[in-house]
Amino acid sequence: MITIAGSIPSKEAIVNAGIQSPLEQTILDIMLMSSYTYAYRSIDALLFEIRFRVSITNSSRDLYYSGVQFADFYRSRCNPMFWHLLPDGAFQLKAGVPASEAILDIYRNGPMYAFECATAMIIILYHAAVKMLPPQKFNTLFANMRLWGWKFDQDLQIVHNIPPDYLPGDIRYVKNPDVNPLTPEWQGENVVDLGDGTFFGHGLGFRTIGGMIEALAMRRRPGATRMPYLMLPATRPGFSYLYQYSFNRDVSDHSILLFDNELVSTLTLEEYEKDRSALLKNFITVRIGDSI
Amino acid sequence: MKHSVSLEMLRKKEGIKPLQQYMNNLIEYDKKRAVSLLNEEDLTYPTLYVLSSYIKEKQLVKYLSDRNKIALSIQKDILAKERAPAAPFPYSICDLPQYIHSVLRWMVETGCEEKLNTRYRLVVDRAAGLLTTIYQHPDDLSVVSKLLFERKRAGHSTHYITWAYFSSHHIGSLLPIGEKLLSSNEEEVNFARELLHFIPGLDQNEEPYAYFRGWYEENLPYLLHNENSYELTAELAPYIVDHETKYRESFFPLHTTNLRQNEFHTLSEQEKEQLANLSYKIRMRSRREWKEWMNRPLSAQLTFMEEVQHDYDSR
Repeated sequence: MITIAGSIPSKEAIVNAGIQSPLEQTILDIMLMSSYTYAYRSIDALLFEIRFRVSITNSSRDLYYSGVQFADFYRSRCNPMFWHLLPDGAFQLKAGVPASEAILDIYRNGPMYAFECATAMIIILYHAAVKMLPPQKFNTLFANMRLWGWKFDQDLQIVHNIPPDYLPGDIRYVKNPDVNPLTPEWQGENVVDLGDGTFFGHGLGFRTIGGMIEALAMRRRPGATRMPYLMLPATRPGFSYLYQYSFNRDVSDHSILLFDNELVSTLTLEEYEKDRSALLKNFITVRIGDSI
Repeated sequence: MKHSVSLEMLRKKEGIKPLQQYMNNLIEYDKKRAVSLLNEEDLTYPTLYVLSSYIKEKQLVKYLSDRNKIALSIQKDILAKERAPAAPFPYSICDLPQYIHSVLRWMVETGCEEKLNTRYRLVVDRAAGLLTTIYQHPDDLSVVSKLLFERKRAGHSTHYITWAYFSSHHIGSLLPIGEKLLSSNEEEVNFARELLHFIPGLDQNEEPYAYFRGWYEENLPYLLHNENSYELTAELAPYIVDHETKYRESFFPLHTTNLRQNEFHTLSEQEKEQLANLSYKIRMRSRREWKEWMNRPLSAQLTFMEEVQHDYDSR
């Protein structure tokens, strides 16, 4: 089920608001059919998450076709025009370089880059964010970007838990408990759910979960007794957190700010008037600018 | 050339180039002495590594000791460019797997402080991984934890070593990490805190080692290995406390056991943890009192837990 500012919208209303591709429709259907309540402040916030998820799947495909290579942390490499390669295999954004350009360079000059599968997932999330956020906002948010597995992800507000439903754009993990210790880079594979029954894993390409398991099983130690398996948690960026940065206008241009314990959304006066009573009941609202 | 020359001293005092030059000349003029020096018991793995290309080029491998032969074979295998999936175990040159174990340990123990280059670090890190995942001997944990902290200190990747270390599936692996909380080196303490961050409350505690030991001793019987890693999450938790076992231990209530188990499962993770900790404390104080408490309904236990928490908060 989906609620918007506390009310249950019709499917038609959501579709008419801007659902376009079949994959967007699939995501919406899973949410609508779920026994879990997906609560959003506005339809825009819902559409933002759906489009972000589609963007993650597109960024996965684009990464594959960019020509980037798979490598463990000892053999990581990057374009020195945009990144410092640190001794631990991390890529540190060079001072003065816009983060959005550095991320796009990975896709433009793929063969100059090589990295591990967890780093690939972070790159995919950043690339999807480049597509979803205004460049200035992205470059401010991620000015000190470092790419190294999941360790430096604060600005994406990564959520990692067992979700009520698995949705396209989720990142899952196939664990290989009996990996050959000479190739620990195959201890598991982070994979993006592409929404069509296939998944993308950096180094293994596009496969079903069964295909991923089969590929990892080939990289087990001799005498292994345990098969690789899909773990229950899913990983995704903080969509509602990132949504607040998705507006092209500056905050000062907005009429209304909504606060829960923190800023949760910014609305136009029209959006505010439409759901005024529910918003006044559920949020602290602050008007700024000269509009009344 | 005097026989008393030590290859170790030459490498450490003169450097790698002079050592290689010396060995090159020695092989030319006195191959037997060169082999004798290479086979000395106190030779370290870094010295063997920097001379390995000469040894191969001059076809000396067949004259080397078993230890050196096995070490070079392991090194070659680790550095192989392509590894066919499910390759056969490569160390059949020795019928005694324990001997391979001792060679791996020698490689890591004598090699962990040297950095040399990326390829060298790769060999030592992988050797450490073989130790912890294949042999899983508790005595190796201190050696591998030393390597882990050496890598961190030098700013090199600890990703695979961390994975390898906790893949030992040995709860005792937490002890060498915990002992680093006593280090005078602030970076070591911070790294130990990072690795042990899954212990609730450790971050805020001003006496982290005492806190760690208390937590370890309290939870040791209830720790379960958790198969997450830095590949999956930034929040590594190699072990988790089995709250249900800590709460119930071997107790079977007068009422049906399944009912109590089912009730416990309905609690939030925080409630499970708090109730398990309270159960443990009462049990430690008085087993008789604990049995009485355990026979109360779960709702009464939760109320008591809230009262205890309230008393604690209002102090």
